[in-house]
Amino acid sequence: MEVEAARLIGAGLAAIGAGAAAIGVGYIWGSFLQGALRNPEAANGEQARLYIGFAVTELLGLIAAVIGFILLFG
Amino acid sequence: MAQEEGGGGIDPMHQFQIEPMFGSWDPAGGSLAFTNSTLWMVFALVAVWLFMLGGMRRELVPGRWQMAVESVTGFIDDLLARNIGPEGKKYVPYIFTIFIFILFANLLGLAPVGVFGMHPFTVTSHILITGVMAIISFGIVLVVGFWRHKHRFFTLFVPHGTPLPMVPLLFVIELVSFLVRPFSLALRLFIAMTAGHVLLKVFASFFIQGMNAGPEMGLLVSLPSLLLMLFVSALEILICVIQAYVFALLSALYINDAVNLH
Amino acid sequence: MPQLDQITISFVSQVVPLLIVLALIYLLARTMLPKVQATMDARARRVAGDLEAADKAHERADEIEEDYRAQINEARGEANTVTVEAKAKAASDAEARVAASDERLDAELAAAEAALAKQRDAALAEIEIVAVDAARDIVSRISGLSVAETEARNAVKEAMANG
Repeated sequence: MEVEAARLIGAGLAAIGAGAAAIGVGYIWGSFLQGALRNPEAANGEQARLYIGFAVTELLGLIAAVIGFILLFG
Repeated sequence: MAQEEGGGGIDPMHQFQIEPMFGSWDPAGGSLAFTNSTLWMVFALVAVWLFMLGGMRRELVPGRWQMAVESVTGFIDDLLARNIGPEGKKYVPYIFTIFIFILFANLLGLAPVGVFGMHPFTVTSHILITGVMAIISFGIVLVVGFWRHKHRFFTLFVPHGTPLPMVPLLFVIELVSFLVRPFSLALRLFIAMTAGHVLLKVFASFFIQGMNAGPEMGLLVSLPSLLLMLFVSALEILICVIQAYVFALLSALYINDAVNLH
Repeated sequence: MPQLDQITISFVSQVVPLLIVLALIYLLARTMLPKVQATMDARARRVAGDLEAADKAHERADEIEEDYRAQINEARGEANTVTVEAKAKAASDAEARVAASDERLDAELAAAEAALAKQRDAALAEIEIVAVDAARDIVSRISGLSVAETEARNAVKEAMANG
């Protein structure tokens, strides 16, 4: 049962990564909003970059989630 | 499975199980069977076909349906024109295909067909599916890149203005980041879909367990988890669209690398 | 995770249908997208054409209005000249008629004056004769002298010229 317990703990620790990615994603959207409010005309042109940044950052959180899933569900 | 059906809970991973619709798996593997995954792929295909039929009315003043089809095609067209340029026109059918397939597969996976006793299945929540699509995108990048630029395609891995001593190091770094692309593409979609559905199932099991544990527990646990499920469902719909868009956008960007070499 | 557990067993059953479905959707996109695009292009062209036609119609309306203005101005000018001419003609007519009647009146006046002068001369002559007779009469009564007619006439003439 110790291995089982360790897996659960590990899965919980991996969830921290998702939270860290949440900080990153929030930072990206927040920065975009700040920039967009200052210069609304330029906002539409930068949307692709926004989503690229979002995707790249979110991927790291998702990788943490994968590790959690693998630990939890094998 | 680490957690067997011991705690009276619902296994949140069961929804991803692929089962043949007729008969059972050939234990040796490698056989072609009509599975629930196949069924939902066909559903997605039919949905796409019906959706596209709405765009074939070709009226001068579009109705809502035609407007929706035209806005999706215009969106993909614009995406490619903006990211690749005039040469992007050639890749519109491919990007449109993956975008619309991912979008419909994602949304159909969220369809509330459970009330009719069916089990919705999200095709894109399987790494094999997303992996094959990512490999197709990556293959297009490689083929187009080497076809158009021959060995000069390798200059993609050396950014402009790199000092000579840094070239080997940067080459390795860029090569690794290039080779990781299909994995990141596949993993992103697969995990985003899996995580969302697991989350929904976890809340659903909270709801059922809370109801089973008595009225006060039901009020304390079931009601908040039901509200959370509503919220998460709305979020999931957003994620479905964003993931389809991100897959299409990143594919377009990678193709842009191959077409224009930075 | 079934996604990882079932990779080997479901590999063919997943990949083959996926490729078929993707190929079918690709075909759909290949055949339908150009038509949708063509519809959108046709609409854009139609809208642009309509806008252009509207612009042209606007321009034409402006032109017509300008023409109309010009015509009105012309007509107005013509009318002006016609009235001016008519006025001038009427004035000259009146003048001519006035002048003609003036002339006639002048002639009549002159004729009347001449007749008057003749009559006055005749009257004067008669007065002279009467005066000569009267003077001879008076002289013969007062002095008993008979004055010659010529002498009397001369005296009368002298007196009348003086008086």
